[in-house]
Amino acid sequence: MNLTKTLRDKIERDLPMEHLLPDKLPIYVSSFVYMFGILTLTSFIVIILSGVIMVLEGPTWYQFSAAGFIFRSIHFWGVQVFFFFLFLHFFSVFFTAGWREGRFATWAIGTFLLMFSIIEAFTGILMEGGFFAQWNQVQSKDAFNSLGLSGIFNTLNNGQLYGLHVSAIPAALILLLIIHIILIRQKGVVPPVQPRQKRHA
Amino acid sequence: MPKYQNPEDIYPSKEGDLIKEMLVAFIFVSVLITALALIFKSPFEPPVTIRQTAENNPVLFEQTAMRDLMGTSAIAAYGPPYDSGPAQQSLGKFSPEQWAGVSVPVNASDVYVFTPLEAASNINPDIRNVLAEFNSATDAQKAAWENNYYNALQNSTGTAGIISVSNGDYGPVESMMNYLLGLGKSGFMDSSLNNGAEYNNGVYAYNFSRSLLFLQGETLTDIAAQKGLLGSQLGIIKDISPYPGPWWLILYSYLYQIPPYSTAAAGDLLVALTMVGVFLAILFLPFIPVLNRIPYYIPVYKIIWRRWYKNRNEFSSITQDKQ
Repeated sequence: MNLTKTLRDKIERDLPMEHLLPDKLPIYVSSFVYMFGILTLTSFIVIILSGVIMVLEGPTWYQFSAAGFIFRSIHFWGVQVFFFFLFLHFFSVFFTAGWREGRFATWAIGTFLLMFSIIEAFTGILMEGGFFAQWNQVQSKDAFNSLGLSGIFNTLNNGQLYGLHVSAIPAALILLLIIHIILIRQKGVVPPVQPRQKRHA
Repeated sequence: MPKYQNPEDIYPSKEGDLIKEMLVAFIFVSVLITALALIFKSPFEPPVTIRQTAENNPVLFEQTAMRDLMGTSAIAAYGPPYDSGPAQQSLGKFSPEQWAGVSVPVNASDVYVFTPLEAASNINPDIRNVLAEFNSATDAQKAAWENNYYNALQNSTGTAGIISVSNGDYGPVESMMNYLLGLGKSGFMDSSLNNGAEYNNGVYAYNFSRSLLFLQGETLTDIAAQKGLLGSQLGIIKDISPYPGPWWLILYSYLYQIPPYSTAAAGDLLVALTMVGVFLAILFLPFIPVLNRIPYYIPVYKIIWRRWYKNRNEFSSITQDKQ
């Protein structure tokens, strides 16, 4: 068996280019709610870009220099905007029962994205470097300790938090995001609820 | 043929340009976020240090150190992951905290009292004498001195880093505490606690467990209360005023305010398990009766797809042809 050919055939069969990058969309896709996912994704890109610049320059730069503090502020407001659109996206998918017709995997990956996003933002708060970080570090330690996670998620260890925040969790988020987008393009946008679905879900 | 029947092959379609939409969205959020950042900046309240605490509230500093010395502080009696005592967060035999064991060892009396004093005794021999007097005493004598001094601290006054307590039988404990207070005021405690051989002598000094565990409790709680950041003040959603905080953690924070979470000894474990349960409920929501019907009970979808439903008959013949 030629693995390369098998993979190529699978991609060509399951995700043809006209579905991955369509220039035509179903006519029912005509509401601003369809922008929430894209606005979440683009906010995420802004957060990643500002975060990469912050990592390259280092904590003392973004905490104490004028230019660095702007990027710190972009990172901060990026997260606020990201979660605003993320929850709008979540509720719009929920109220359109977006898991219908074979889309449970897309929903499940989205749920993991939500969870990892919350943990990612949380690690950011814990290493923000000021009193708010210290306060949340000591306050949250008990819940993580109670689950026996202190070895891999010690909220008082800034080095560990830094590793989780800038590499491990973003890597998981980006991987899950790619799968999420592929599944959305593969299955297409969920169609409007039909009368029979309304009765039987 | 694709394995899945994509609705884009079935339903009537219209022109679309995902890449252009994404570029427009990216420009929109970039401008929005940058404008927010430039106008409002971001919150930053300088961190609290042990040095500040020693200077501003010497009585609280010594009370904290005394509780660590006596083994009665929250950290000294915490159990895993800080020491091998029994875990406080257990539901019957279910105790992940106990199973995980000691991963961040903190012997409170050693870490916060004896180790700093022993280090300082190298430049002040009198500290060595004071420690020798304490160490050579019986346990009963040590406990008596400790209790006398701790009780005297309750009625003491402290300003500008100086404490005055009434006369009493404190043995070497009063001197030990005053030397320790001096180390606190000098900044020595802040730098030395996270700096030992176990942290490669400071080369990897990123782990602030020890200094934060000294500050946790009354010291940080008092400051948080002044800033409205306690859980009971829904502090998690506020950040340093007037900035928005992590409002997406509101459920996690709110659970701590209501019974049984607020009253149970294993409240932290209950909250953590509840959050795991909430995650699983959202994950498997499509299969959970009632919950998976909410979109039909509250038909927001009719508003979202109102144009489709209005013109459905017009499109249905095309749809059927494609199917």
